[in-house]
Amino acid sequence: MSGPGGSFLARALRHRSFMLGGALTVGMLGMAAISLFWTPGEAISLNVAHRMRPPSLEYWLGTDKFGRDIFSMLMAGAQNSITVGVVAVSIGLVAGVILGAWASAKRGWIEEAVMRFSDFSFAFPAILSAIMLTAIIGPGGVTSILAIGIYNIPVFARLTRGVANAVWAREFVLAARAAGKGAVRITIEHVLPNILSIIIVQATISFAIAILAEAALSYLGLGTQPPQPSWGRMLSEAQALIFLAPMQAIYPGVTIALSVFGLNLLGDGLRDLLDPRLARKR
Amino acid sequence: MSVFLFKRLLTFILTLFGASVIIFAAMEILPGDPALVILGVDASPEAVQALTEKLGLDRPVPERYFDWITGVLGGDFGISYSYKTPVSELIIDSLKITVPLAIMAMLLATAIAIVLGIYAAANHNRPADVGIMGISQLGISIPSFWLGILLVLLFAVNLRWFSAGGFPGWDRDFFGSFRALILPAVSLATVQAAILARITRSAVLDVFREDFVRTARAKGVSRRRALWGHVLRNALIPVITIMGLQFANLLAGTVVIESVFTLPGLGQLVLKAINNRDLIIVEGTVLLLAAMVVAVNFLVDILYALIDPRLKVSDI
Amino acid sequence: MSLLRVENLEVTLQTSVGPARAVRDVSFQLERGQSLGIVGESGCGKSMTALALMGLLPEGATTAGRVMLGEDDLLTMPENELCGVRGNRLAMIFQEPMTSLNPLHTIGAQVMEPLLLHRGLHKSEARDEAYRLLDQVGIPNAKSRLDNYPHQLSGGQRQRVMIALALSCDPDILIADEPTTALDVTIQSQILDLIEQLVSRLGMSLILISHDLGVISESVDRVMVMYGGTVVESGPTQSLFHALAHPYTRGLFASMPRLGGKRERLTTIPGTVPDLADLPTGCTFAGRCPLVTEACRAAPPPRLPVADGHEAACIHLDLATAARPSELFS
Repeated sequence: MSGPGGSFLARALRHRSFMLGGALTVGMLGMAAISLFWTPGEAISLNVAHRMRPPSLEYWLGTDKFGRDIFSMLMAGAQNSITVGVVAVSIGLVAGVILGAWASAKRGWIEEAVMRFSDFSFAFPAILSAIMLTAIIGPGGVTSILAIGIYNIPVFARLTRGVANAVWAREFVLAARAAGKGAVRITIEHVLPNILSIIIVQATISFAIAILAEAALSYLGLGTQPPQPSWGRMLSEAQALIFLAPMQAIYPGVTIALSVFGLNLLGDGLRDLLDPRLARKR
Repeated sequence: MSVFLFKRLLTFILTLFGASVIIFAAMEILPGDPALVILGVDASPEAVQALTEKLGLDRPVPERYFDWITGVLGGDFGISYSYKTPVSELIIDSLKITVPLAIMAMLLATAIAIVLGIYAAANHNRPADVGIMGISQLGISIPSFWLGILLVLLFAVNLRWFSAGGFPGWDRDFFGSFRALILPAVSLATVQAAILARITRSAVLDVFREDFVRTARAKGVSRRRALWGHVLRNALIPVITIMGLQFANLLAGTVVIESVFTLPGLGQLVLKAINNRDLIIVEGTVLLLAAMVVAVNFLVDILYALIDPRLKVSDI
Repeated sequence: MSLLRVENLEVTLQTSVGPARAVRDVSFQLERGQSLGIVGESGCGKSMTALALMGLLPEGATTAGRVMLGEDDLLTMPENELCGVRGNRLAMIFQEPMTSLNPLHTIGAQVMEPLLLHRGLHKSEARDEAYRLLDQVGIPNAKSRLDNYPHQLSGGQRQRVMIALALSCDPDILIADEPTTALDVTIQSQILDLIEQLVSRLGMSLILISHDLGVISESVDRVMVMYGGTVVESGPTQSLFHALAHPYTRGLFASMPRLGGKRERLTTIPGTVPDLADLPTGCTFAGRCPLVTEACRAAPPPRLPVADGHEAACIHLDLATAARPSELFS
């Protein structure tokens, strides 16, 4: 994939916000990966003897009211955010792309139905779905994943339909149709490869939004449940102690903001790099 | 009434109907017998049976949906299991907080976003533009409830200008109530403003590149006059679209922010109801929140028709 | 003294691949009541020349040279004074009537805008004047059209509105950039006739920009042929079409279909227009010219006289004029 001004890699290395976003995202993924087999302290089990310790060499960011190491909790919380984000966005992406591509291939009333369904779903932000889901299946990571996933379906369905319609109007698709290829084959061979870069960009942005939504849900107590650490619940626990240990409310927030900021920059950078047409318009 | 508005009104009604069916169905598939939940597991079968009949839970589903929805349309959301008061009263009390909060946040966000967006666009690629866009990129990345906690930390814990939460009530202390909503509104508005400022900026820049702006400039209209006279109204169209779509997220944010500042609004009502398994409140509140989102998007459609003369005849 | 004197105009645009010299060393004069045609392919710098005169170049563009309107140099004039010139002494019509009018303002408001701005009329006076202008450009039911929006008008009618707009303040010079290109063929000649008629009736000067030699040959006193940002040939219309000199002009003319002409293959000029960001040192046409020699590539060609007031920038004029165009590019 080479465009004006050198290879993809060369342009990526020169793109400052892409590199910053990439570095932050790699940092977040790295934290989660390392936490799978090593954390500097205890992230899950309680040790009341060491509660509310200030930052030190042993406890890098101190300990919380149950004696858990805050830095270790942040690392393990990254695991949680990434799992929820990846699974939820995948649900939205797969279902949404299928719906959107189907609407675009068939047009007519199917397209109309898919679009009306999308319009309709916008009335239910992730938190409303989560509230209903919590009422039905109770709070937990699965509730977050389902709520955020459902929220993402119309996002991807609309996007896919829009760009797929543009691809369907192109000459090479007409040629493929003239050659007698079916709608499914054209979608797989021609439409999907041409909309891939836009879907990747949206997936990055949606991942960022999913992390924010997951944090909000676990803050409200609808999402991930103890003992699995999550950034949102760390914030809600810290808020209760805000007069006593204000810094405990800072660390998880900064971690969330940096992760989301990194993904947003990465998404914008990818948009510039994968679609030179859009980049030039800016 | 134009065809456009008629079509939109029809969509509006159908969407509300769809939302009510989905919410009703969701509550229907709930595991557990509501009567048992209300009375507790120790209740005698006779008492459960009596309550089931009293609540009409033994009747067919469509009939009960019809009863529920006609009740809701008449303002009767049923009686709360846990509070033993009409749900409509609970909802009205919480709306007195949620609606002013949402409106304050929306107004604040719009004002900040439009000023910053236009300023950035007018200084395209200059330091002011780059700075505003950088800050807004950060603003988009901050969870609004964390910003709320930070504001509490700064203004309630350190400076002691505001209280950390709670709500005195409009009747008891009007000014104090207003004050109690300021920090929550600022937390909500900041994130919204960051998103909208970016949209405003790119919309203004896009319109500035349009042929008709060049025509205006060729007439002798200055850049500034072209911005106010020709660009802004055209740029408002995408901005209003996004504002409509963002309203759903703003309401969702309200639910969380009420939790941060312990404001007894709609969000707190529904969260408590979930804990108490008071499903009739959940049902009514979720329907109301969804209806608010749909209604705002309907209003956006009407605004379109007011702004864009093309919609009155075309787009049927 | 000439009404408009352009001297060594240079326009450099900022592009993603570096600076592009869109207009180079363009000079011409325009007398009161005279009309000038600028011909060339798209991307030859003709529109950029017009936008440079108007001071409406895209963001980041730089200029050099002089554009003297009477005593004033438009290139160095401050923006606020330029606003008093645009639409007042210098007016312009654009190619795309469909997008050149503001979709959210009424026709009346858009025609009234320059009247309020430059002529200091009151709203009601401006409205009467707008009605007169629309009527003058042949819009039926002009009074009721004042309250219409652009989408309620056809393309031809919108271009008439654009003309009314341009003429509203009796400008000294009207610049028409491809005014008929986007219109139906049946309407094209109506609009051209209207422009010519109004220009001569009101005693204005006209700069008509087109890629269509036919349009140019019928409508203007002088012609300027542009290629790769610079003027390759210029002269009085009669003289120039009588003795096309530059290889490019000859190729351009030969590639144009003629009504009632002999049935023969149209000539095509091989190659494409040069990349303005990466121009050759010598003659810009060298890459596509059949007569090219080393000398052409070494230095830009001087302008050599062909006839009275008619000159061409080519060092092989003798060879170019000797061959028939169809032979030249075979």
